[in-house]
Amino acid sequence: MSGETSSSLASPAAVAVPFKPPVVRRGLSAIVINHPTFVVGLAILTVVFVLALTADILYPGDPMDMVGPPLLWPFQDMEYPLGTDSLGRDVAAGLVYGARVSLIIGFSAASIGLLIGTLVGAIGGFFGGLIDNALARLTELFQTVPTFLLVIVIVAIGEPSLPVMALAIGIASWPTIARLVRAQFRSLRQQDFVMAARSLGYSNTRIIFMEILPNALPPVVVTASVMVAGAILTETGLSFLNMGDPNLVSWGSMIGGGREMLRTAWYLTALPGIATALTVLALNLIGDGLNEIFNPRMRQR
Amino acid sequence: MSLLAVENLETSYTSHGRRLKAVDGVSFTVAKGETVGLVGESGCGKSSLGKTVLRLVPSSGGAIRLGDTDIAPLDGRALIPFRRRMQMIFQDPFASLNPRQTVRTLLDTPLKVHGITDAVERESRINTIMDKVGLPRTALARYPHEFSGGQRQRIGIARALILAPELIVCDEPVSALDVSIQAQILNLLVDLKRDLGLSYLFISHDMSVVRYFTDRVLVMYLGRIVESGSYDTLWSNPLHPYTKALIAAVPSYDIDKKRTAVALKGELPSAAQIPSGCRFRLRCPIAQDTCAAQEPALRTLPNGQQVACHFA
Amino acid sequence: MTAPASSAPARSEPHAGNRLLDVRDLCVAFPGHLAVRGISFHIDRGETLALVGESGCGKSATSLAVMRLLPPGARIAGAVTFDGIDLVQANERTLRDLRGKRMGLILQEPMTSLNPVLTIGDQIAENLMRHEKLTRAQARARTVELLDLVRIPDPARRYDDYPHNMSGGMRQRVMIAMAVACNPQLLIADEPTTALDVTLQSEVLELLDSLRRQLDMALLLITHDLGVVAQWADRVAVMYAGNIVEKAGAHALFENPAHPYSRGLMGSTLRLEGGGHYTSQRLTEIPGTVASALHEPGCNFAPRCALATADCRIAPPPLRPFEGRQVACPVVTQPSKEADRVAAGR
Repeated sequence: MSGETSSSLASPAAVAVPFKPPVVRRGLSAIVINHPTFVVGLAILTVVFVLALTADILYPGDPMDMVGPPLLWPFQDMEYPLGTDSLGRDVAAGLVYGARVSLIIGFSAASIGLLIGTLVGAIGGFFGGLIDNALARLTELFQTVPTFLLVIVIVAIGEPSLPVMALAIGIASWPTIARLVRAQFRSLRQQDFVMAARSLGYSNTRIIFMEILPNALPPVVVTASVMVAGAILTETGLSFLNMGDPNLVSWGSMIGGGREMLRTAWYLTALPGIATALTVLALNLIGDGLNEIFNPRMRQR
Repeated sequence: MSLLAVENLETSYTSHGRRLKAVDGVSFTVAKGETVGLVGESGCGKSSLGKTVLRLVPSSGGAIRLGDTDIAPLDGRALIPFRRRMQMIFQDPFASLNPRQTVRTLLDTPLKVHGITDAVERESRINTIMDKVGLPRTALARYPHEFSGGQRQRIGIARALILAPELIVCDEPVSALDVSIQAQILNLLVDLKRDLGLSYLFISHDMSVVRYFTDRVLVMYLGRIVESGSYDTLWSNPLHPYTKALIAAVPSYDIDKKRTAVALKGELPSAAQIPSGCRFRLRCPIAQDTCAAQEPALRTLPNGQQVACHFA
Repeated sequence: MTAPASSAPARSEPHAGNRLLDVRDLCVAFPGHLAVRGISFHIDRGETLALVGESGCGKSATSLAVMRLLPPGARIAGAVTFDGIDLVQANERTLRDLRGKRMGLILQEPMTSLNPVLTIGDQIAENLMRHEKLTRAQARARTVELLDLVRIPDPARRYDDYPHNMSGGMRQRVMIAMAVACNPQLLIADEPTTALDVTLQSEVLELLDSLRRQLDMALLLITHDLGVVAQWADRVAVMYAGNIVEKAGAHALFENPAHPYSRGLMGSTLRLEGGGHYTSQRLTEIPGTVASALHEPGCNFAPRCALATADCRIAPPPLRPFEGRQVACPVVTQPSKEADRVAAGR
């Protein structure tokens, strides 16, 4: 029973005049004012998105093509503002096309993980009993295997292409979502509104998807944004190890390619590294912001 | 003929590996148009009984007859036609409405689920119900959190009525509401019963509310009915010491009336520690040796009152 | 510590004129919401004052403001004087010394008010060691006495129990023992029995009342239950939407409630004895909800009031003396023929 005491407005003048209730902002302006980090995260991610979408317009050619002299430093030649690598490829073009790969992998892998995790968690959490036990064991099994190793194994068995990598990362990351959704369902299924839905004769499918799932989503969305960041990092790692799609430029392969010249041309690793870090940071900021927006610490009334 | 006839109903649940009975052999009837009250302390099994009757929790024995059909053994699809004949009003008007659905969705979905495909007919039924429970049509587009507790309870009542049921189980429908709102909701329930010919099973811990609202009362203690009687007999002449204690515990509004000392000892034991013989004997002011040896049967007196006590 | 005059255990003097707590023009604001709108009341030593009202009327905010335990972000204005100490101006140190020692608080929910990882005995003893500077052994002995005082059977053994080993009624007794451990002069009980069964309610209130007499405490009883008020309060303040609308002796209020809201509250409350049945008698309703009244310039109750006149909606009515009590209603307190006719017709 601890409590911070209020700061009192106890001047004699304040006593006579009942003060006006402070204005509480709602809607969009409230988000901008109350959650600045969320807005910053969203802004960074939007920039990355726009660059990825407009890559074809900004750099119409193939980013794998040699376009200029090798190892130009940034700002040395304003035609290649971020310089060129050892094969004379434009680093700026690589970054922009790499953003595309990172975002595609990030979002599709997270979607796959979200789909599997939500289904497994929802079914286990709602029905309980034997089904839940079996699914919980399966979830634990996947959690005990290190994510990155699992992804490497799956990519090694399949082929190093975007869909296979997305699937591999999705398969490796669903247990987090499954555990979260399961916990949500276990508490929500006992709520009176679910009891009411059953008394009205709703089918289990309707109760799971129409009644409980919408209420279980907020923390899942928060986790999903962090999952996107994780997937981007995993893809970067794969490409760094040369296990990515050899026909695509990605931030990971750029870092990997620049590794040899870390002492002489450090910008070749630093620039894609910064791009990765900024994007991951943005997604984490968005996750934090969503968490704050969904769980306001001070509820009204 | 009675609308609902419950015979020897049992509900059990597992706690720490033991099978415990929340409802242990309860029989009663609810006639068409009748309001039956069910009172007892929290943990006595009254809520479990209500939910078992509605088949929201499984029964482990006995029969639940709705009209001619025993619905206790029914399952899944076979139960759906009976679901629309009996509905529930919940205690907590905040937890019992899905916060992510508008009032329209809350009322429309049951109609869809029960095969009313004509959108015009659904709309007209929704409007009729909104009028009946005293909510404006503008409320349809809004979400539950935009309403006060009393209005939310009206929404809950509208949802319970939308399928035109015959029996409503009210589980503490006014306990979470303020006094002035309580009166509004009780008056509404009285009007609805009169207009729609409803029957209520009214579960409450509040003796004053039960006295006002019900035609007949069942007093429940540790999963069993210990006394039952009509409005005319039970309140003027309670027989079971537990019923007497429940009535005596209600603080009097008569300021000059001396408070009566509470005769009950201790608190309601859990279903895991049911005493031998009479379940009430450890708290009973008039318990004797017989009570430990022999469990009193629920016997019916000439005036229809029933009581399970050796000395009543 | 200040106020040497009354910290000594000289508690022989009678209550008359012996003011313990004096609250003047208290306002409490939460972000976006004015919970208490300038209320004044007092409590004399050893008496029981009940604050009655429905949810959202500001009664709990008042009790937390008196203890200065409002959540961060809340602001208070006005004057709260406890035994000569200005609680609004007091610093955190003074307040810490007062809380638990000279002012005790009992909350509604005995499940969450106790720390689940400490034994109940240690939780009470901690208070004694901090405020009364007792040693561990002394505190333990005193705690066992206290558990006995609140009628917990076998107190020496129950000392080492954790809250989850106890029933709701027992936990509330532990809360009471903790609150009265240092012989406080004022005990604030915020809906102390709302979470308990009826059978326990009167027992717990009876206990509070006997402790009040035994330890010569004043009791601020916060409740929505009029039956509780009738049986256990000396004086009553009826709150509505952040204002006190009627202050009266319990006897006077129950005999003849004056404010239209008090009357409505009494009318819509169900009684066990002498109550009607739905087949023969309709309950009196107060139309509308509290929310409908919050932004009125005049009397907050006017939109729900059968007696309201155009004047009621202009300015908030002040409390005025009327028939040995104070009532904030110009229509009732100045009985013109019109008002009498309307009142008689209802």
